[in-house]
Amino acid sequence: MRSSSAGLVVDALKRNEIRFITVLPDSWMFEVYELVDKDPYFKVIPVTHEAEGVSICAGAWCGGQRAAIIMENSGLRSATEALGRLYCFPVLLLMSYRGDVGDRAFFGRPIGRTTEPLLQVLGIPYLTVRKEAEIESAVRDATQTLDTALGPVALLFSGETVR
Amino acid sequence: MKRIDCLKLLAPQIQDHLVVVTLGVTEQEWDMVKPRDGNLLLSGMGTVTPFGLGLALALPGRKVVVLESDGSLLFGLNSLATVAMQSPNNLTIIVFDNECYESIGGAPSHTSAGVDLGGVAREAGIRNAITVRELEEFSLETQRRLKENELSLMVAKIEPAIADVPPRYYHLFEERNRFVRYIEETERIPVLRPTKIIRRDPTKWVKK
Repeated sequence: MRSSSAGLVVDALKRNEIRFITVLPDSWMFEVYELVDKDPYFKVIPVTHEAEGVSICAGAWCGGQRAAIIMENSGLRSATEALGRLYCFPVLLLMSYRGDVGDRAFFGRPIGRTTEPLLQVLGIPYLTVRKEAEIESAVRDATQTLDTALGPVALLFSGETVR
Repeated sequence: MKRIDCLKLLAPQIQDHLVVVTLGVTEQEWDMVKPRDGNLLLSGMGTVTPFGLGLALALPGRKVVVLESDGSLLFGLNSLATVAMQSPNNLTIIVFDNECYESIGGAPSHTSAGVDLGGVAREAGIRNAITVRELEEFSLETQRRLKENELSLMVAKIEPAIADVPPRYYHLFEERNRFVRYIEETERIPVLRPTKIIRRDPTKWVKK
C-alpha cells in the first residue's frame, strides 16, 4: 500500500477505536501491518490462517474490543467457514483487492474473481476503497455498520491506495 | 471415563469464569449440567479455541475456560501454535477426546490412530499440557488449573457416551446477547454499543 494511504488507514483505525488486530501478512497490506505492529496503541496478533484470525477477533469483540483482521482477499476463501458460522460477531476485514480492474499482477485475477461474489453470498457489507480521500470515511462508515449490524464488514483496498 | 461425569465434577468449580464450549453433544451436556449466562455455546468446528484465545487476550484479568473436542481441535490444529505464541495466562483449554465424531454416529477421528493432542500442544509450545484418563485426576487437575495463572491445556481421554440430554432450542443470536450482557455486567464494560437516534420533535408537525 502507498505509505500515505497506510498512514490514513492507521489514523482512521485509531479514531474509531479499533485496537485489536489479527494479521496474516500480505504484500499490499504490508505497510499497514508495519505501522500497527510498532504502535503500542494496537494489540497485534499474528495468525496462521484467516479463519483463525476471524474467530480470534470474534472472541475479542465479546471482551469489549472492536477488532479487525488484516489479510489478502485470497484469504477470504480460507475464512469463509468462520465467517459463515460466526456471522453475528462484528469483525472488520481489511483486505487488499488483488485482481480488481487495473491490477498489474498476472496472479491477481484468479484471486479477485471470487472476492465480491463471496462477500455477497456471505451477506457481508463491503466498500471498495480506490482513492486516498475515501479512506477516512470508509473506515468510519464500516465501524458504524460493525456496531449496528453486529456482523463482519469488509473494506477492499485497490486503485491509487495500493499503487 | 465419561464426559458427563467430568462435566459434573467441573461444574461446582466454575464461578465467574467465561466458558466457551464446542459444538455437538458437549454443549448440550454442559448446558444441562451447568446452565449459566457465562457460557457461550459456540457452533463451529475449529472456531472454539481461537475464539477463547481472543476473549482471553481482550480480558486479561478474567479466567477463560475452553471446552474443546478432538474433532473440532483437529479441524483447526494450527490455532495451538497461535495460542502458544500469545500464551495468555488466563486461558485454560480442556479437550474431551473420545477418538471419534460422536455426535454424528461415532466415525473414528485421527486421535484413534494415535495422534496425541497433548503432545502436539506441548510441541507447539504450550508447556503446561497433559493428558488425563481417570476421573480423580481430571478433578484434581481442573481444580489446579482453574486457580493457576498459567496457560494450560488438558486432554481428557473419554469413552464415547452420550448422556440423556433434554431437547433444547438454540440460536446463536440469543447465545451472543446473553453472553456479552453477562460480560458487560460483570466487567463493567460496554460491548453492545447503543445507537443514539436523533429525533424530530413530533409536536412540531404543522398541519395544513
